[in-house]
Amino acid sequence: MPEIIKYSEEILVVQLQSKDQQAFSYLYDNYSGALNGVIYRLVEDKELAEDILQEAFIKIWNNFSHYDPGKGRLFTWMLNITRNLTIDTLRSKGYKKQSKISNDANSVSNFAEDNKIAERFDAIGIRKQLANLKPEQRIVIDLAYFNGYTQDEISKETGVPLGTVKTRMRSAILELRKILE
Amino acid sequence: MNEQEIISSGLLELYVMGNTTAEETLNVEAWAKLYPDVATEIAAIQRVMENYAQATAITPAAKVKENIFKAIQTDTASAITKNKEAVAAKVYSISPFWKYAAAASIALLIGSIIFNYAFYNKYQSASNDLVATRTELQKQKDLAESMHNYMKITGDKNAMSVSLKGMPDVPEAAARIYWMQDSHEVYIDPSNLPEAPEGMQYQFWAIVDGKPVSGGMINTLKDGRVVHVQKMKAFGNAQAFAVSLEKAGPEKSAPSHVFVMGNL
Repeated sequence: MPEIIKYSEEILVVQLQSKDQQAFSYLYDNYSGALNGVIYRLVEDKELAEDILQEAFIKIWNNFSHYDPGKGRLFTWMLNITRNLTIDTLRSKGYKKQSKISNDANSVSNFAEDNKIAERFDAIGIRKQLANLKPEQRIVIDLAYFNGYTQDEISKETGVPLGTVKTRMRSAILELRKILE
Repeated sequence: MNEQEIISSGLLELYVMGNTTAEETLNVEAWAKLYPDVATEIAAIQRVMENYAQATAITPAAKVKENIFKAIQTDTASAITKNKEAVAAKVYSISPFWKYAAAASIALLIGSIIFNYAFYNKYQSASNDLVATRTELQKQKDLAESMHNYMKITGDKNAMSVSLKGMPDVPEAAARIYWMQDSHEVYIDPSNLPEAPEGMQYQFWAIVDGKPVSGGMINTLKDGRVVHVQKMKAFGNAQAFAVSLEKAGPEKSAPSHVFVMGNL
């Protein structure tokens, strides 16, 4: 991870509000990989992912005045913009990826496969530590955070009862905190 | 629910994952305003998820960044003005008193709007100025501090300056070392090294008893500005110093592409 420049999030936000391009460049360098990973997971197409990423960052720049630090961290806001844009793009292009997943009874093993694809691009070693996470916990987190699924959708997708989705989500995040915090 | 009950309820996790109902979302946002510990907990969960996303990052091609910066450069947002069609109004006769009363209240209203508008603008520009001034002040403070450090090191009577010359394949590269003869501290001025390509970083080396010993990774930029002096690891007795270009990240055990070198 590039550790060269460190802005505190508050200073970064102030500079971005005043349309500071250097701050924007820093923002891009720090978060483009993570957002691109999220998009790639949804579209599974490198070129299309980068097109959406480009559009997302332009949107982030243009709409920065809408960001409210009181409502959460900057990345969470950027992730929401990016994910919505990706889902809109997939819909408008008539992609069938989403329905492909939901029609598949063996979606659990399919997701494990998907994760392997992304792993090839892994730049950091943390992924290995993530192996401590049980696959069923991982799927719940990934579907909610990356795909933006509701609990209902996750329950339907994985065939797991709604109550279990809830407890699994919590235990998964607790596990993640041990690994990543 | 009290603070602890909220934190252990599991709702905050669901909120961060975007999995709360509209009502729950409102509750959580209200609690976050009310209880600092709840807000801290939410931020902590968000940070964990952020790290998780970083762990699954895929670096995009360099041209994406170029395209984005080109786009925001040429972006000239043009305001769209909508023409509203005027609708013919019916005419009613109104007694003179109400006419004057209406005229007076409209005049008052207009006066009040102008007054508010002027004050709002004043307030707005004052608050914008404040933000700009703060940012500028911080920049100037940082700059002053880095200049001060630079002067202190280069002007030290014990500082011995060693210039590192570019290797034959990169003749334009150069760097300068300040070696403190008393404390053996080593500082580098990397500002004349070519900009490192994306994903690459310079690493500093000392040649001790004929072998390269790492002196740490070099930061060429800080807060978007060129670094003029950076403290590196100290060596007892080095014969020469070198800088190599490496993959960004942890220090390497041996240099792969030496850019500049100089003897002590």
